[in-house]
Amino acid sequence: MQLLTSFATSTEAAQPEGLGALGLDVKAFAFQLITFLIVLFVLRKYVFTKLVATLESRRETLEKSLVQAKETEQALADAQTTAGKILKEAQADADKLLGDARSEARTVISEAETVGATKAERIILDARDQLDQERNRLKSELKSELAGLVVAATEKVLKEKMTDSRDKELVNKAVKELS
Amino acid sequence: MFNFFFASAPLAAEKLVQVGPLPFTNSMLFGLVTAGFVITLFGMAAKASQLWPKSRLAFFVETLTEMLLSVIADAFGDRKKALKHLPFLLTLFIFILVANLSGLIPGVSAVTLTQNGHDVPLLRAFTTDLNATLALAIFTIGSVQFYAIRELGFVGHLKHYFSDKPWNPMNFFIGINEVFGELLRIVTLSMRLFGVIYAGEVLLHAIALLAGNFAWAATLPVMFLEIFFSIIQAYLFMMLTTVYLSVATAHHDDDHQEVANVPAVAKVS
Repeated sequence: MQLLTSFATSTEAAQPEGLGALGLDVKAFAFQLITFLIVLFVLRKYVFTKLVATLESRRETLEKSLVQAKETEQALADAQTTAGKILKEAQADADKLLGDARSEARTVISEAETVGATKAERIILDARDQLDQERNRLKSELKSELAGLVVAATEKVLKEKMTDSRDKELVNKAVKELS
Repeated sequence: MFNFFFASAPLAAEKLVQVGPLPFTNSMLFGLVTAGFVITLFGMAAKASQLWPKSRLAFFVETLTEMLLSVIADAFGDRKKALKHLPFLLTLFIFILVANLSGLIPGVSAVTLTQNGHDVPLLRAFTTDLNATLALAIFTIGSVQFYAIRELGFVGHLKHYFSDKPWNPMNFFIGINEVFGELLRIVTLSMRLFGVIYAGEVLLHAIALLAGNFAWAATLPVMFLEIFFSIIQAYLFMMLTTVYLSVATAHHDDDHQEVANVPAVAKVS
């Protein structure tokens, strides 16, 4: 400690006082200024020109990307709106088509029902006609068979051979009575 | 009482050799080293700079530039104007920051040269020499005046100090006061930077002497504090220059807006 104190005292004694202690000197001032100016010149001319150009182009790229993103977002929103509109229209069209199809189907069904009913009626009528014809045929067949039976029965009862004219007369009489 | 100031480094930079009429000092030598380092570092970064960053150094330097550009643009309220003054302001910040930090590198003051029987440190931080900080301050204020006159014209610039009616005694007195304040800015800019950085180095030296064998542990917190002060001082110098430029180059109509843009730290200073 004593050594340091003595060093300090000796150094202090050698130091100039007042403003002179600050070591202000025009030549030193100029040298330091030139040092800084060299740095400023080199950085301004070769470094910051490039750095600022890079930063500006990066900023422009980012801004462009942001604008594009915004445009894409807008386009997406527009597309969604259009899609919604188209969907709504399609839904309306589908509903209309479905309604039309239903009413057409109802018409077709009702027409089919009408045609079916008509056909059924005709079939029934035809069947009735056929039945009537069949009944008439059966009736006439039955008539002739019955007439034969009557003749046979009468022959047996009368035990005589009848003439054709007598036979015909009797048959007709019997048929008239039966019908 | 032990005099720490003289036990560490004298206020003035010390002469290493006489080069013609120039006394070449240790702060000049370290100033040149600092300049070379800054130019090399930023030159490498600029060389590697590209739209899609691939170099970490370039990316770091670009980020720093972008960050400071945004701060400067805020102060100017005009990005175009900020871009115009960016090289000067950024050079001030970077050079002062590197110069401030250079004095904190361990072992810097340990390399000595014997001059007239006593050891002189070979290297001394650029900003611990008042000649250097004064050169920076005078150049800065000179540039502010130059840009102000170029922007507003000589008469327009004088109106900043003397208003529209300089023959009014009160306006004249205020104008003289403003001009004096402008000159005082040189003193405040240079002395503040020199004082804080020099005092930091003296403080580190004094604590190291007091702590003896535990100097490394005792100086560590102070070292962090000094790193912080180094950054703050560089930033403050740059921001004050920005504000001076912004106010000096503002047209009268923009004055209110310009003042509104001035950061609080500048208003206090």
